[in-house]
Amino acid sequence: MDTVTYLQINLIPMLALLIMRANVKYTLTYSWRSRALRFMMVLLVGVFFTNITGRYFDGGQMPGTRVFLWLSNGFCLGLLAFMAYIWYLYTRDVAENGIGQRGTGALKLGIPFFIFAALLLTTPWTGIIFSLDEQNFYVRGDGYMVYVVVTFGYVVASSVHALRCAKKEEQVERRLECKTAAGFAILPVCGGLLQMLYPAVEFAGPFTAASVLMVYLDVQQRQVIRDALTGLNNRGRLDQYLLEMEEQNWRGDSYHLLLMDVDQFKKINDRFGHMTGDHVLRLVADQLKKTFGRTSSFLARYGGDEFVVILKGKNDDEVAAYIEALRRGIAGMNWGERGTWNIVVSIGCVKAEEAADQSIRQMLELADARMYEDKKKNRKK
Amino acid sequence: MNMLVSISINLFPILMLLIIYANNHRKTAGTADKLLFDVLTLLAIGAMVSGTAGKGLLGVPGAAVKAGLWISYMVYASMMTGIAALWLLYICFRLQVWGAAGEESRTLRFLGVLQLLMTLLIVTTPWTHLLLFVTEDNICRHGGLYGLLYLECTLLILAGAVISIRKGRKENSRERKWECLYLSGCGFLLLAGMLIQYCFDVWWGGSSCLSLTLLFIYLNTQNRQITTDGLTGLNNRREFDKQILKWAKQNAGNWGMFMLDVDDFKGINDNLGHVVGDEALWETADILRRVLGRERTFLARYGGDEFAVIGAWKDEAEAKQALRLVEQEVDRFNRTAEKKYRLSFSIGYALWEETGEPDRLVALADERMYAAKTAKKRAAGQHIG
Repeated sequence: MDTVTYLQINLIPMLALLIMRANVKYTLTYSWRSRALRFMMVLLVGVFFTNITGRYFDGGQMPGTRVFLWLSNGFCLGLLAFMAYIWYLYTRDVAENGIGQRGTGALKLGIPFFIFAALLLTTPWTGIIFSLDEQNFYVRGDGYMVYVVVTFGYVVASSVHALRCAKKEEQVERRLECKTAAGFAILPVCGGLLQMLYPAVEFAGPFTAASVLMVYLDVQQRQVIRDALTGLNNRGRLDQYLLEMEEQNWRGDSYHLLLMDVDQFKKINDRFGHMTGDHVLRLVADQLKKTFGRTSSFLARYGGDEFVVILKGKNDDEVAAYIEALRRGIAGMNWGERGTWNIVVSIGCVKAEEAADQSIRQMLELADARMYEDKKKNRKK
Repeated sequence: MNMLVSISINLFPILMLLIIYANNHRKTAGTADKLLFDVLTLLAIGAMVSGTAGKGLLGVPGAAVKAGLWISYMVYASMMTGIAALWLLYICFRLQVWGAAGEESRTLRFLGVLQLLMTLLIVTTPWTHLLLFVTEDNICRHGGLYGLLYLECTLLILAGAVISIRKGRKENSRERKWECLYLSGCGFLLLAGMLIQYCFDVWWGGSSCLSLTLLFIYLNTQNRQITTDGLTGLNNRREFDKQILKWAKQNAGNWGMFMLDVDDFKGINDNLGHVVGDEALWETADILRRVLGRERTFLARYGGDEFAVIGAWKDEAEAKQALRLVEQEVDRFNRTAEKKYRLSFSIGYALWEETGEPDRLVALADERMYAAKTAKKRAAGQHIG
């Protein structure tokens, strides 16, 4: 293959990665994970770049080419291995729902990479990973397998770890997140294997870049459907979910829809300020997560101080028990002004069968009416 | 060898578009522009696959290869014209450029007839050899009308760019202006790709620029969903929190913010229903856009019925002037729009120099808004009493 081809093979993924990197900075909130994602993109751009230069000057005879080739090829291998290590840390963080992988723990996990890096550094003298022959052509060394094992090892290990975490998780959505994180390894692994089988076509690079794109689009999709304040699903996602359920005619299962709002929330806002109001909403959302986390339920913030829960496959008594648990949890919330003000939620509960044509609008209206009744009752107390 | 080259080059763009398609397709909201984007992505994938096959088979001897070459080039050509036409449609739908009632159907009819003619040209080309032909040794040569294909695509994409630039001039909010500019920029990227491909045979300019453009657009629509409020189209709370920190960091001079609350919104919601309530919020956002959109401001929906505006007001006089403009516009709205409800706002402003801290700035504006609201209520009470 000629130079123009190599340039094109690597240039498009490089540009795509740079576009993505700029976008991460713009849309994702600053966190360890978004930083790691951006770092991976940069590393991969480096891999593509050194791949171009390494291939372009392969076998070149100009003075200084030899040193340049040592650097290009060395960086190409080293950066990809480093990326595999960061990939492992990233997946680990997603799987454990952590707040970042730092310190000695993260360093310990990097031992295989550091060993490989040490070998790579000594390679110009030992020729263990790769070497350059008399005509300055790239030749694999005896220890090339170390590189393959380390990079593959990290990617596979991250998937295994994510799957193990998925088993332990209690929330449906978290389980799905872990499984998705595990699935992202499929593309790079396939790319690597194909590359070994058909060395003439470039597989590894494009497949890895594609999987970084998948990771990123997935993270972004989560932002689109998430309510920023409470971390529940937002109104848009709720509308979409309800529409899907209606299209499927609620599929015979028994469904309960709970609509709830915080009594006199406006007064809390007026009296204690918006910051406290936001804090209360967050605490109520936490109680919802705690109460319904183990069930296959859908939690969303409907708007302002209103929340919606959709429960699947529970009978009336069970639902009543859940509501009771929720009320108790909210009564016991510690929010600073606990002594002076009791936070109470009004809840309207509707079964799918109760709405005449099972339409969402009717269910919501019915739930709304019941919520107001509940509110009146709460006020009398 | 040719095959390996073309597969290697097109592998990543095809993978990327497949991923984008899968991600976009998963979302169920069936708006026209989402659907068009779906089809556009599929056509792009089709063009790349047929292009890969067409270039890969070049020069390989055999009758079957000859048939394959004909088919892949014909598919490639029809995908190209299809992409150009859909691109124009996508821009029209996304920016909602249709004014008069007949415009939409006229454009659709025109594009339909154009596509029909191009398809006719492509389908008959094995006999007429007008567009291109495959020689005895399976090499592809351009026919007399080969340039026409490129010309048609260029003109359609150029038309899209012109439409978006003209639309951008009419828009009155900065975000919408940017969107128009952005889409026209994407059009020029496509044109550059086509030019490269037309001039240099070895560079896959068309497919690479097309795939990058689609990535751009997909990320842009995602960004929009993350940063804007779906109901009003203003920025959302998350974006406001980010912006206020940015203004605090970057602005050397004085600036300020409004906190705005729709009076008796709960009453509108309870008495006239949620649909009318949503409409009232939308009208409020539109009033803000009309009055303040063109200046250096940042408009956001803060929560429920509350809106926040950040603006580069130097002193109290300027802020009060902006306040007056909003009130005039609300008066005009109440007089001219025939609605069942009347809009009125309680507004509190705060200037950066008064507090020097983002949190306190919001709190101060909030406080003044409540003061305005209680003053209004008291006045109304006295009036009745």
